[in-house]
Amino acid sequence: MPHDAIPASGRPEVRIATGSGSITVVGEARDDVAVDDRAHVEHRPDGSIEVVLKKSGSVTVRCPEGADVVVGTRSGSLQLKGRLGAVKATTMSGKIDVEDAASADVRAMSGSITVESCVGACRVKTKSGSAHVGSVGAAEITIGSGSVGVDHVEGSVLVRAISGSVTVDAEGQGPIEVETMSGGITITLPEGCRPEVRAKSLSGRPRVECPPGHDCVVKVKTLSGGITVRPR
Amino acid sequence: MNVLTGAVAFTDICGFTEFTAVRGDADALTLLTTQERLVRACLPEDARVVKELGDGLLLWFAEADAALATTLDMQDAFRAEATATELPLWVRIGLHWGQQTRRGDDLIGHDVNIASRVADVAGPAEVVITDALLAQLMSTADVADLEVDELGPVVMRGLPDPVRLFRVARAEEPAQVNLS
Repeated sequence: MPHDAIPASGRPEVRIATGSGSITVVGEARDDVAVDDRAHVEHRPDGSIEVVLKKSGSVTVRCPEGADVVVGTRSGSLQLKGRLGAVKATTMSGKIDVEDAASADVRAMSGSITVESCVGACRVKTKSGSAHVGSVGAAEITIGSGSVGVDHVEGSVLVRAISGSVTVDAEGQGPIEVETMSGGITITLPEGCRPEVRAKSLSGRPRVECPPGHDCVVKVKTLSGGITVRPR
Repeated sequence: MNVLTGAVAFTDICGFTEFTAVRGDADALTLLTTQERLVRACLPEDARVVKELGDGLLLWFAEADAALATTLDMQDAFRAEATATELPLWVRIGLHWGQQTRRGDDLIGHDVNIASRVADVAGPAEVVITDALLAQLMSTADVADLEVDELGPVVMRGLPDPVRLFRVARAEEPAQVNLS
């Protein structure tokens, strides 16, 4: 049972910040923003709805589908479930999981990040931990140590990985740029796509299995690792 | 005690340790030298490099608008250099407006620490600023040519309260900024 709730119609912006503790946000068919007894909700002057935590520990926030969510915690995981609007999420220590967002900017200092679905631009940054992106419109991913996996991206891709492998399955409807310092790169493109590949590796000859052309630009570079660009 | 008011920027080369391991000390030195050369070429007269911090720099600016314009110029310069030379100048920059206390040539204080933490949140090629810097900027300059994207209330290590952070880039279209 929710402890406190505020009516919210349309596409509200929900803001949550806490020092420690995990936060779960659920976008579901409802017309209010509701929280459990660890928190209460209040309107801010700018029209957004703020979740104010009364106790440390985990909290669950329920909001209308499509709500924009701005959430930050120092230590603790962030779970964003259901269909949400623009998601901005940061944690210094803890993993971040986003199920379905219109757009996403998610950042962790230490922790893995998963974004299952994001129809718009998806920006992901983690210093230590892997990044896995399901189906997104466009991807911009920065990672310190850990692997990067992009299952399906429609548009542009920019990945910078310091240490870890990168695999990207792209539709090739935008430029693809992937750089690693230490880690292999594998780009998969649709059958029949004829990319313009600019590949550079200091360790071995890049393998380009797609026929050359100008369907999309693929720029890949690694200081230490193999490069493969192949058809699906 | 000598207290200044201004903007503090921290720069940090992402992956410097890994770059040094793969490419060796000579290339690492080239990377550092290149960063410093490009930074100094962008700095206005009333700004200064306070000190070097390994692979990063601590910078001080008298004005918020100059601080932001300069750091955006730096990112442009890093990108151009990286394209021309293949050096991975993946530099992140954090900016904060506040008070700093002189300690010899150095600057210390809570606001300096905040700027350092902000740089940790930024990604390569990004400039991330605090709400204090943005408020100062909006009181003195036109921000219509900027793309200002809030990252949220960010709870950073060692800081008791969350700080609103913004990712800033030059806009293709005039931007709307809501600081309320």
